[in-house]
Amino acid sequence: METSRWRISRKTAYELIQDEAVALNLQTGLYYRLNAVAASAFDRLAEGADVEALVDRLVRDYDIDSVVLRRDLEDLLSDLEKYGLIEPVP
Amino acid sequence: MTVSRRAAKDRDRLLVAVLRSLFDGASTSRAAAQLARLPSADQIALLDRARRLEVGPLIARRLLEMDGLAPEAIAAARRIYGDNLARNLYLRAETKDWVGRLAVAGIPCRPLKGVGASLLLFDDLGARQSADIDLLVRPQDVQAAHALAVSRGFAPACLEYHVTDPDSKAIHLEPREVVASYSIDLHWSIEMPRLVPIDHADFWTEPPSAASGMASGSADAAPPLDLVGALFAIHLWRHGATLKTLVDFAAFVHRFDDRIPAIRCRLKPAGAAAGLDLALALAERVLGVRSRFARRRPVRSLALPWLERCLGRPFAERGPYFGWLVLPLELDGALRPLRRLLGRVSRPVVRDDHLHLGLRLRRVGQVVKRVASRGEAHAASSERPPVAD
Repeated sequence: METSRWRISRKTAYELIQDEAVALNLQTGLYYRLNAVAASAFDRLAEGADVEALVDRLVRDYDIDSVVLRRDLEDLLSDLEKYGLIEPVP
Repeated sequence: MTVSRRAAKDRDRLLVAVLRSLFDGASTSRAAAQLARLPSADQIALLDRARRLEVGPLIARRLLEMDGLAPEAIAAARRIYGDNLARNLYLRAETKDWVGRLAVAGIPCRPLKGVGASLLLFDDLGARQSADIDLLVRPQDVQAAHALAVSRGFAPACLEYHVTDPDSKAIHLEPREVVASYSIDLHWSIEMPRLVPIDHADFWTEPPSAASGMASGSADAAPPLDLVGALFAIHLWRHGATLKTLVDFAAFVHRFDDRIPAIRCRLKPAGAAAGLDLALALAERVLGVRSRFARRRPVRSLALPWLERCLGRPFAERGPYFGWLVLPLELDGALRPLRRLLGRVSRPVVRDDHLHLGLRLRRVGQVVKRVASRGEAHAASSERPPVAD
């Protein structure tokens, strides 16, 4: 993954509910449902965490294999960027 | 009773049982057991029925918390709730945008109900369904706010509507030259002044209260809680006692029961305290939400069984004048409802303290004619076969 730090796009509105989240692109009207792990990752991105810190934290919190997590996280970030929900921090 | 009617009745009973479980944890296991006995198709039908009664997301969320939901029903419930949450995120951003634009134009504005009510009543942005954005501005700002809405591509839904009509409470604006999936109700009063002349000046004078943050989660535009509660009580009658408005009111009572005496004080000078007592009785009877300040056996409690039956009828299917049957129940006394309704129907166009008997009679004639023609149109549309199944 080339980018190590992301931020929530200004055109994104999101809400965490119990153990999941919904993130909406206010321009396109498309929304993305995030499960517990993805919601936690999204919330930490909003706080400015970089990818490495994110992986460390999620491995600790959810007891997931770090290789699997890193791969899933890359897919998630790529999807979120494609839908305009996050953007790389230059 | 036919099998399908009995099934529909059972489904509605379960729907109410699920809603009751929101306020009374002890009844949750009973509702969950009933739910678990239903085949998945019936569980989905329950969700569909809830959606038609405008409580779909709330029921979906509650069912997801219970055991016994079939996988197909889980998927349907998640979709209903997720769609509503996404829509409310959009409406919240749009509401914030409107409040900001009006503020830039020097127009103070308070959002009414809307997405803020979902957080206030259920602590959950996705739980309550909102159709449009309701904005309250001061009467002297209505023209400017209306002009701003028009400049942003909205237009009045009804051309005959007069922005300055002091007997009305709001103007309904639809998106015309702009892509927006909501309409706006621009209010200058929280209820029709001739029907329920409630003083809502505290919307502008009371210091903000974080607990009543109805405006996009912001405390800046938060009105006092008892005025918000009065609004939910009035709304129940204005919408002809729908299940959604009753659940809103019951949720308010459940959370903020200590505000009921203050709400009564607000409604009494407007001659609408009877509506509060009847609403409390209805909330207790249907949803089991009991207020410490409810008055035993309000005079109009005879209407409760009929009102309970009305709850099962979706707002959109009630016919144009249904609300006028229910609304007088909120007004105090025996003659006041009749006097206010007649006053509303026969209000003069000219305001110069003269009687204008001819004008008033002509207005009554016009209203009667309109009722008759709408009644015929309604009957004709009911007889028309459906376009598709």
